[in-house]
Amino acid sequence: MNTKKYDVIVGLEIHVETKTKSKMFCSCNAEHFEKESNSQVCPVCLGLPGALPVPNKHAIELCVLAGMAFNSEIQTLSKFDRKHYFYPDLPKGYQISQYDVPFCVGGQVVFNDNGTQITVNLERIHQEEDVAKLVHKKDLTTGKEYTLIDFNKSGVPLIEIVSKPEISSAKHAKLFADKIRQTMRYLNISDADMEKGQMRCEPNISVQSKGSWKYVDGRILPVGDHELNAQVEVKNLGSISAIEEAIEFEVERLTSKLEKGEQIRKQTRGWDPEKKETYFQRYKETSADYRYFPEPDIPPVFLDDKFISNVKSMLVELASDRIDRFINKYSLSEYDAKQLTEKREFADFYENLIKDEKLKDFNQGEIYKKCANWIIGPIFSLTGHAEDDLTIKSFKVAEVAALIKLVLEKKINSNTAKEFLEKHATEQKSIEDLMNTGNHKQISSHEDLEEIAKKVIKNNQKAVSDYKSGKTASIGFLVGQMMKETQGRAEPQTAKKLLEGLLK
Amino acid sequence: MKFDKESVKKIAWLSRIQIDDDKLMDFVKDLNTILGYVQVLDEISQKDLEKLSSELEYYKQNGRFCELREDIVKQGLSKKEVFQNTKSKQDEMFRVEGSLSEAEDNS
Ligand SMILES: [Zn+2]
Repeated sequence: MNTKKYDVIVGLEIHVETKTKSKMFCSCNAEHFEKESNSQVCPVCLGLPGALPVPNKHAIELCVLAGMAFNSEIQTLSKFDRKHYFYPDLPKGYQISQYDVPFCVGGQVVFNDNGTQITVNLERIHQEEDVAKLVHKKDLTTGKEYTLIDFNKSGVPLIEIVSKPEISSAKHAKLFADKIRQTMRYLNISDADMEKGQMRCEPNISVQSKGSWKYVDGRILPVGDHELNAQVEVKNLGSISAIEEAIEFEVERLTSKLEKGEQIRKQTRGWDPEKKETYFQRYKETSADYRYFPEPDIPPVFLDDKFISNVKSMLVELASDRIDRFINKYSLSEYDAKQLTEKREFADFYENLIKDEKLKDFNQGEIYKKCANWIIGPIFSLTGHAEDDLTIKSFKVAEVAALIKLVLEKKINSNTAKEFLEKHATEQKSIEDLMNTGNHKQISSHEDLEEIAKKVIKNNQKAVSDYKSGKTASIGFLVGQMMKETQGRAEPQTAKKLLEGLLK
Repeated sequence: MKFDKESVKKIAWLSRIQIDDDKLMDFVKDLNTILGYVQVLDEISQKDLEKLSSELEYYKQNGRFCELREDIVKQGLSKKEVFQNTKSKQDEMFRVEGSLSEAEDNS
C-alpha cells in the first residue's frame, strides 16, 4: 500500500462466549462444544411462542467484569433490546442484545508494540446471546442446498467488545485482539479459544485518502467536499494471526481498487485460511434495518452496590501489571516476566513456588531466579508438547519446591532433577519416593570420586593422551565416563577438577 | 410516515418474503391502513408525558427492575419434545431449505 497517499482505519468487534454454567436467558447447559445436537435446548432457546427469558446474573457479572478490566463506565441502570434479522440461526427472528444502554460504555485497551505503549479506546461492551449452529449441505440427488440446525449454542451468553475506529494497522489489530484474549483468560471470563469459536473477531476496514477525513468523537467524518470510502467487514477469522493476514489482504485489495478509480460498496466478506484471501459474502444491512426496540419481556436491569462490589472482588491483577511487578519485585528480566505471565496459571505457579516453605532458608534473590528458570526451562519444555497432555497442572508446587531444594543442596545433579521432574509429572510420583527408589544421591566427595576417576583414566588411554597433547576438550568425554560409572550421580564440577588434577 | 412501493420492497427483503411486483400496491395500501391505526397516537396531547425522559426513567421512579437468575443448569426438553412439531429432521437436527443466497440481494 502507498502509505503516503492513504490511511488505514480499522475498528474491531470481538465476540466472546463467557464462561457460565447455564445459558443467558434460560437454564440450559451453556457448555455446548461437541455435545449431542439439540440435547441442551428448551422453549426459550428454541424461540417457542410464549417462552419468557430471564437473564443470568453471573453472565452479567462477567460482562461488567470485562468492562472493569478495560476501565469502561459501568451503567448500573441498563436494559436489553431486540435486534431483528431473519436467518435460520435465530429462531425468534430477533436476537436479544443491547442497543443504546449497554452495560459498559467506553474504556481503553492498552498494549505494547515493541516498547511503544498504544491505547485504543472502546466504544462499548454489551451483553447478548449466541445463535444456533448451522451446517450447510447439498442434496446429492437433487443438487438442492439445505441447512441443518443445532440449537445447543443458541442462547449461550455472548459479550461484544467494540473498539472505536482508532486502529491504524493490521499489526495493531492483532495486538489488540491478543490483549483482549489474554484479559478474558486472566479474569476467567472466557477460555477465549478461537478454534472452538469462543472468541470471534470481526474487523471493519476502510482505506481513506490522506487529508480526506477527520476523527471526531469516535467517528470518521469527511473533510470538506471529500466523500469517504465505504468500509468492509471481515468475518470467520479463526485465529489471531488470521486477523492480521485478513486486514493486510483487504488493505491491498481496497487500495488497488481505489487506484483503479473503482468504487467500494459496504459489504461483509469471509476469510479463506487456506488461500489466505477474503471473499464476498453479502452487502451489509444498516443499523436501522435491524429495527432495534426495547425487549418487552425483560424489565430494565439495575445493578446495585452489592452487585458492583462483588464484581470488583473478581478483578485480579492483570498480566501487564504483573509483568511490572515481577520485574521490580523479583528482579526478573522482561523476557522472563513476560513468559511467566503469559497465562495466569503460570504466574500463580511461580508465585506459589517462590513462597514455598522448603525454599525459605535459601538466598531469596537466588530462589526468584532459579524458580523462574525451572519453569521457563524444564517445565515449559515438558508442557510444550500437546501429544503427551502435560500442562502446568501436572506439576505440584510442593514437589517442584522439594526438587529445587535437593538441587540447591547439591544432593542431586540437574540431570537427575530433570528426570525426576518428568517422572513426577507423568507418573504423579513424589520427589521423596523417587529419591528413595534407586540410588540418586549425588556423589561429591573427593574420596568417593577419586577411585572412579582413576578407573576412568586407566580405561580411556586414548582420551587421556589426547588431553595431554593439548586437546583439552576431551576432558568432557572423561567427565562423561565418570557420570556413566556413577549412573549420573557424580557432581560434574568436582569430577572435572579431580580429573584435571590427576592428569597434570 | 407513509409506505410506498420502495419501502415495501425493502421491508419484504429484510423479512425474506418474496412479493411479486403486481401485488406490491396491495401491500402498500394494507400497511398504510395499519400505520393509520397507530398514527391516532399523534393526536394525543403529549403534555402529561413530558415528565418521563425515557423508559428507564419510568422504571427508576417505580423501582421495579428485572429479577436476575442464579447460574444453575436445569435439564431442558427431551429429544422427543424438541422434534414433536417438525417433520423436517435429519441427524438430530432441524432441516431447512438452503440459506446462503443472500449475495443476490439488491439493497
Ligand atoms: Zn434453553
